[in-house]
Amino acid sequence: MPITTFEEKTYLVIDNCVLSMLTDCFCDGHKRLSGIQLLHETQQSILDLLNIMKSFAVDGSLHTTQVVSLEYQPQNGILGNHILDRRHIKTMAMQVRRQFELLGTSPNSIQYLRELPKAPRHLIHPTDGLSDADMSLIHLGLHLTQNGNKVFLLSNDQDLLQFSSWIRIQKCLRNPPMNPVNLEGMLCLAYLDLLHRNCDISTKQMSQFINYLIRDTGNRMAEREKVSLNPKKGAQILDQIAAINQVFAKSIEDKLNKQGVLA
Amino acid sequence: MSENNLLKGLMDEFMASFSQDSQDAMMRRVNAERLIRLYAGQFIDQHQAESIRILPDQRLAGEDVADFLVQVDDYDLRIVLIDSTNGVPQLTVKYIQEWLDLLEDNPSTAFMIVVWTTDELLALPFSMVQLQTLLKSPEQVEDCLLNVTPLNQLIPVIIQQQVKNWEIDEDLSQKPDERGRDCYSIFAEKIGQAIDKEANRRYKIEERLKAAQEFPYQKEKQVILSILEDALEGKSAKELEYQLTRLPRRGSI
Repeated sequence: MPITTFEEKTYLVIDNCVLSMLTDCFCDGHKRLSGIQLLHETQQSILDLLNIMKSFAVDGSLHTTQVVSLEYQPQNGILGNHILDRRHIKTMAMQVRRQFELLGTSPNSIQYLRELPKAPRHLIHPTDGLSDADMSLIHLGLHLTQNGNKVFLLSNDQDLLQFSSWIRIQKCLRNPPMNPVNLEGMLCLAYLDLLHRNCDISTKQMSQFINYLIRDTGNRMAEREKVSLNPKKGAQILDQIAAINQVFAKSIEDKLNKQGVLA
Repeated sequence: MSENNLLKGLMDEFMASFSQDSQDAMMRRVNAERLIRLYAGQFIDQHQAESIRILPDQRLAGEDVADFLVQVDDYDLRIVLIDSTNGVPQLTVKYIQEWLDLLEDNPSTAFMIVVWTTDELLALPFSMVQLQTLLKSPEQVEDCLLNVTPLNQLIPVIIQQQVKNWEIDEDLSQKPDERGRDCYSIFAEKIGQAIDKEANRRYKIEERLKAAQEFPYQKEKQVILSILEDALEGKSAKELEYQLTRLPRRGSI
């Protein structure tokens, strides 16, 4: 029986990479527009989606940390390729940041996480591992577990999600009311697909996210390989894309079943 | 982060959302998969000498029975995840036949490792003989569950068990230098013969003849023997690899 409804409301902690992805994806979706119109439509689409996400949050809010919030720079993505007044971009960044409850994090609490016994070395390494901003999100997630509800940390960073899976089982952090077991790291698109199956995001929008991710992945890899993808990697990606499209088709089917269209 | 990993991660989470019947079960599975990859990665880093790989277990034909394939040298282990709703491992006999079929179909698979989606990833390895026994005497399943061990402790033990320990003659093991010299002299003699043979080859084409005459065979021999000497003194494979790859192709040292 596939999951088509949210069983409980949770706290939501959002990583900057999610905002960057949404900005680029919506910008790409509105590519026929230009200048200030493009910026306004992109901003509005982001705010609409964040509002949907807020409605699934136990406290009706989205959370992030101050340091992560400052990382959000819309001009670093596709918007940067357009001629736009810097003041407008700054206003957009502020509008988006304003949607979040912010928590400041002390360097000590981040250092504490890095020094946990048996922490995976490649993840806590100060230069090659997770950044202080990433660690601040873990700290925020743990902080929110004190309220007794589950906390979903949404990111696209696999290392951060892997660390969240490791941290939640550390017994030394189980100091009531803090309960790390309630911290759940989740890929942003997997969460959005649950919203999609729950009929809160349109199939058109969800397929826009997935297509964007696929295109973006191909572009980045081609860029990394300078000229073109090596055939083995290319074939591997094509396989994954086919598999993702296949499961997404199943997700659409579940949604239609839920709506009674296929019943 | 690799973009390829992002697609893979998304696929895993999508699949978990389809294979599990609740949000909690989905997250238990997602967390268990991430931890398996984390522990496997750490184990692989610590055991560079063995060639160990962990892959999703995708069979070309038939049902997907296992979730991960751990390839170690010339054998492999299969990992199958079972959801545990209350943190306590439970096992029903219904899985045993399909695990047995999988082991029978794949002679290179030494063990089927069952992992429960508990915080510690409690696990239990099954060989073909053990599965056959359980199939005949299902009442023993409960007793088996008393032996569950966290996965990150279990895998090193299993891999260690599979390593062949050679019995070394006590006399030989007490005289490593003599053994080393023997090995060195045998190799030196053989490479000397090979190089002499090469040096005395006859060529019809003049350019080849000239090239062979100019090739510094003796210097090459010295370099190779000095690398062998380093190997016998215990230099690491990485250092030796560096020395060997520095050998010029045309022999100009």
